[in-house]
Amino acid sequence: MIKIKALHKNFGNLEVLRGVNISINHGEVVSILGGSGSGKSTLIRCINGLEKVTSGSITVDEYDVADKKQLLNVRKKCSTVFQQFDLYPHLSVLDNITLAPINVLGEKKIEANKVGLKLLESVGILEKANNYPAQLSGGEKQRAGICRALAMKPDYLLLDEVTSSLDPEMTAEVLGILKNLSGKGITMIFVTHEIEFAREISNRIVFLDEGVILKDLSKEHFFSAEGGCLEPRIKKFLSKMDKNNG
Amino acid sequence: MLDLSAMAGYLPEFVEGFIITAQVSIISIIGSFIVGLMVALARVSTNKIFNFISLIYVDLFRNIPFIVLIFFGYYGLPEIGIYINAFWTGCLVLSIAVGAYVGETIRAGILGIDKGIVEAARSFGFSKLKLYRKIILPISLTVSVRPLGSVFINLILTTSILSTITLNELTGVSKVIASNTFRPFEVYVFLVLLYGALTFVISGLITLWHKRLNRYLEEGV
Repeated sequence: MIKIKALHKNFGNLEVLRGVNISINHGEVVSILGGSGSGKSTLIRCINGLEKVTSGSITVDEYDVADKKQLLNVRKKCSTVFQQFDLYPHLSVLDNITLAPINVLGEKKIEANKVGLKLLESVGILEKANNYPAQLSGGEKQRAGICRALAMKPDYLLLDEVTSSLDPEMTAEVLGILKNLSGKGITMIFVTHEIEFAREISNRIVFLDEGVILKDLSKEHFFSAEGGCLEPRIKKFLSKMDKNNG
Repeated sequence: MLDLSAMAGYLPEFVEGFIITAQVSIISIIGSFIVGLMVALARVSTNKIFNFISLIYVDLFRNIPFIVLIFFGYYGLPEIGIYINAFWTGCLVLSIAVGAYVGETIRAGILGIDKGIVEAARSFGFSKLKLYRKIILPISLTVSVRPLGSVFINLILTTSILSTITLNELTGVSKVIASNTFRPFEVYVFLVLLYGALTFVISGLITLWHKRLNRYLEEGV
């Protein structure tokens, strides 16, 4: 379980997160929605310790993110998929996937390769195993990014606007893969603009606005007439997005 | 008239000098790379003390003429009881002085790495050592290998200054031969060719290394 209590994060004078409280249970698929600058990416970056929190606490299972010694355990439990893929450019796709399992988890190379190839097969790019990231399309890169995250056998998968750098066709590829994953018991936290997709796969929607959680509802409730739409800010956001998507 | 045949009798001396130059060059390239690596890591470290020391180091050794350093090492230090022979003084001073340039070159490569890639790696829990060994240094070297090549070629050319501290490397030997034969023109033509050969080999090696490090950018492996 991820527990976030009274989380504040400032960048200089700019308050990006202003008291976020949220608990995420095992197996949940949570989408974090919100406009640009609402703090949703910052929230995810605080969970894996890429940003230092200003005040408040985050614990992942029994581990405190703010404690340097416990952070490694947190990172072993949480894997992140990034908007810009951020694959290691000097390594083959397979080595990208196995580097952390071998060097962080201490897995044997043969085992790690086996797992890596299986993952690549499951996302349909097995034939790219020995290619370098520069030789992949955006969609393929993100599929490799997902494999890299899954190879750590994480309890929690953090997805930071993973389709924002992709064209609609590639977005569909990647979302298809994530949808398959969502049924498999892995806890997923999406930061996303893909409302339709959030509606399809998540069971909980968190709406963030100016650094605070405006609504935290089950998916059904959020999209119903009595749910998120009662909040004018959310109503506006949803209608704008619908227009964009339509 | 150019008459290289007059040099034939001195070939063994040239070869000897060439070998000493090559030895000093190779040892100093390795030495300066190790020094430079440490300097670069200290320069990008979050530790303020390392930062400060490495900054002073770079500024100091980039701002003193090499010949002054080598005189200091060979003629100055014995005054306080530290005597090292000419060969090793040369290697040591070259490693220390050129290390400052190597450090800045490697640092530039490290600073050029996409921040997102480093963050991604951190998010997977790599230790600092592994992060540098497996990700940051290999990527930064792909960028800095070319400028490093220039630094190393410059190092080879600088070894000629070691003739001023009695080391009979290529230039030192040539000076002696020139004064024995009174044929400075032929001697220095020979010298030019030999330095050319040495730097040519090094720049070839650098090109190969560059190619190997950058193979991931090639289309369709």
